[in-house]
Amino acid sequence: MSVFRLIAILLIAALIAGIGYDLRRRMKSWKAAGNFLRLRFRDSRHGKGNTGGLDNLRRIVTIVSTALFLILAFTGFFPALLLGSHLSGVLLVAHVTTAPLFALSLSALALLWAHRLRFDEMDWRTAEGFGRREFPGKDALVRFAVKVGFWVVLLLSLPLMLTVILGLFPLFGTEGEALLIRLHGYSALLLMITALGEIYVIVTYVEHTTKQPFKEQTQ
Amino acid sequence: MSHGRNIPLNKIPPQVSGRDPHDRDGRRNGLILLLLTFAFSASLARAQENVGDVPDGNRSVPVHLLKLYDEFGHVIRLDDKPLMPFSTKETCRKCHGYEKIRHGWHFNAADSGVGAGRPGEPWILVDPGAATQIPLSYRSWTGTYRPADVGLSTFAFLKTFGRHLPGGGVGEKDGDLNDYMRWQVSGTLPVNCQSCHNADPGQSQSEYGLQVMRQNFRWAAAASSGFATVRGSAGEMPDNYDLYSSVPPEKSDELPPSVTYNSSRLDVAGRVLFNVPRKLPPSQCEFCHSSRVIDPNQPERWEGEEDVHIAAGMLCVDCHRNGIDHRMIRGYEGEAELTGQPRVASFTCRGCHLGSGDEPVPLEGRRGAPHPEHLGIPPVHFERLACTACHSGPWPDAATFRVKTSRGHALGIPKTDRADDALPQIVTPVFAKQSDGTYAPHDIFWPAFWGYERNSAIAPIGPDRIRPLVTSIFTRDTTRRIGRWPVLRESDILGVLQQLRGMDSAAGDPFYVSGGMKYAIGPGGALTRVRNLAAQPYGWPIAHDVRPKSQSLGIRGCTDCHATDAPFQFGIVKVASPYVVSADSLSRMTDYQDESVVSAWLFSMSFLFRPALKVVIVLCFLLIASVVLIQGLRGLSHIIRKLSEEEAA
Repeated sequence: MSVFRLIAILLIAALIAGIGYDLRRRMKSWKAAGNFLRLRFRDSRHGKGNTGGLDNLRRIVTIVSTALFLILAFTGFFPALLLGSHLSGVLLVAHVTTAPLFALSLSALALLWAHRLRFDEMDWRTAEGFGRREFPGKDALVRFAVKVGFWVVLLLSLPLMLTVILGLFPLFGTEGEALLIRLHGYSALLLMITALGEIYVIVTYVEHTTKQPFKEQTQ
Repeated sequence: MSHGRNIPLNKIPPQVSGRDPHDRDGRRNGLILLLLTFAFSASLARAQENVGDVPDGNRSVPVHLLKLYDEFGHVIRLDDKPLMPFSTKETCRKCHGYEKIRHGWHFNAADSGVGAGRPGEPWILVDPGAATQIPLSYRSWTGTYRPADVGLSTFAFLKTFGRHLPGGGVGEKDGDLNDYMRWQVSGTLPVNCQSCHNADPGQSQSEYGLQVMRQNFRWAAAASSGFATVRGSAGEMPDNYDLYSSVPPEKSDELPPSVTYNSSRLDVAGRVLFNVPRKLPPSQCEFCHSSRVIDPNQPERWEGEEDVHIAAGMLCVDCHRNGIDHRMIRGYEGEAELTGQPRVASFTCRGCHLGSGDEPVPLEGRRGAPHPEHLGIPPVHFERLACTACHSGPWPDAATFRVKTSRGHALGIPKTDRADDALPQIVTPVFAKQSDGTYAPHDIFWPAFWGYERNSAIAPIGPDRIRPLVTSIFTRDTTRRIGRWPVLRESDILGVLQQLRGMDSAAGDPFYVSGGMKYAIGPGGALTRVRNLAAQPYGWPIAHDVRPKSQSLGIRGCTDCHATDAPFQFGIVKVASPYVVSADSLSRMTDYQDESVVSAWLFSMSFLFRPALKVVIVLCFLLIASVVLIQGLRGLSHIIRKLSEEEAA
């Protein structure tokens, strides 16, 4: 088993365990947790509380990005983790076809959400609170976590794209290309873990009501 | 006591040795002395026998001024009656360990317990008169048949294929009682060391081949040497012909085999100077290892190229090395594990150019092998492709080429069929999947033969039994060229199959394989056509000629292989066989790659959008990087402001 495969399996297992632990902590039973998740997903998919216009666009772009991300994660990690083989055949075709679409949707996501999810004075105080070992309160913590997740996803998308771009040009030799592939894999792994965590936090913690937690804030 | 005296024990009188015959110590010491004497004598004899096999470190080439010995080990003198051909076995074994050599790769095909190794080019028995081309080998390569399966005895095998054998192996298996008398007339065919080691310009392997075809086995090596002339044919002699009697053959126009030596080549001591270089020139190998690709774009020899290694001044034996045991390095991936010789791994393409990675000392770059950069080529290519896929064989065209090989088409033998369409029909390059999962260029051909199937076991029928059954086809087919397939029709095949069933109903169900299909008599008496393992093409990977980097697949970009019409995946493989229905006559390269043509096509289609993909991802990267940068700068500004405020406070 390759090191990458081992690390990926451990990280994914840790993420699943963390989510499971959190759900079990909050719900009385696994059945209740399942119902909770189903309801939350439905609310978030239907965009309850959207105010129209740009919000609709944000919702659509987010859903499209999530769908494309899931396709990329499946096509990229399924052969590597479960089969222990290289990406090839139909999965490779699906992966390389989806990748530019995901890059476009992620760019749109960055443009649409960057201002709304920018770090502000409240986040600064939350961060300072961490330094003083003070619990900032659930809402502030969720706000902060969602913002951090968003920017980490954007940040990780840079090496993810860069490693693909550089590999497509005759710049690197065999060892360089192998390194690029490895970096691409690790970037994708971290991005996937971050994005899944982000999705979980948004779905289960952010209230999908008219009171949008990430509406324009006054500083 | 007689300690330390190196005199044979039986030569020491008791009074000199002073030994009491009843003295137990004396007897023991005498026994030790006897053993030591035997051991010394044996080692001395061995050292003398194999003096040529133990290098003393001197790099100069030993002069091979040798006396000639006949097959009985007697020195040949020009006034001998009858004058015997010299035997390479007896002449060379004076200094070299023949017993070790004769089990080398070129000679051990029929030896038991020898691993078959990677599939190689088989001997192809072609008989247009029986619509047969069938792969034969004494090695257990999947898809080949033993010569005995089609009725070829070792003697018959040698008559047919010995032209391109360096002797030894089956050439010395004269124990077949059915051919006992013929073996007595022809002699055996020992290892002809000269086939590879005689660099004399007069050394003629084609003469050797001719003599073998005339059944002049014991004369073949002498005839090829360049200083002896052999006339006559053992094949024309009756079974009771006696070489040593002076009785002439019954027919006056039949000339018994005889040899005469060019006396000017023998010195006063009756010795001949053999030109035996330490490293063999490629021409020594090329007689048996040549191929000619029938490329309409390069009809003339001068338009082609030779292997880049040879062009650079290297020799075949620089990579295909061997020790005195003559276990040649074939040079394929995995050979080291199969043969149990780890060092062999460093003589593959990868071993020389990249290093095998587990040597105690660096071996990469042997003989100046450049380290390939492979700029921009994703690593998956090096796991799924053999080096030869991009670098060896002819540059692939929209359709495969016909290829003629030394052993398949008797190249180099005078009066052989020189036409481009001479049988057998072999096509190249076919990028097929190998057993290790990598793709490599192959020469392939489709077996065509008649046989019986019983309990799923295939038993081919030799051409000799088929020929009488197909005479009507030849009578009808008046336009057929000699040496080419007859025009077969379904009814012809059905007719022959019915005859075969009538001849031996207990042998099983008769069938005919051709063009990748098996034809048999169906339940209603009609001809059925099904895919069958026995009908599958037999292929062997090719490694030469190696093209230079600038002529390797991929040099012009990904679309050399990943275009929707790239020969690597979408090339047409022309099925060549005595009988092929039009639906089976063309296949795609993907048929040999375990990959569906649809997924290959979809993947290739994605390369049409590859330039756009690059642009899109670069733009997206710049946009997201800008967003992140702006936010990062804002954050930095915020931190600076906060720190300033704290300092002011």
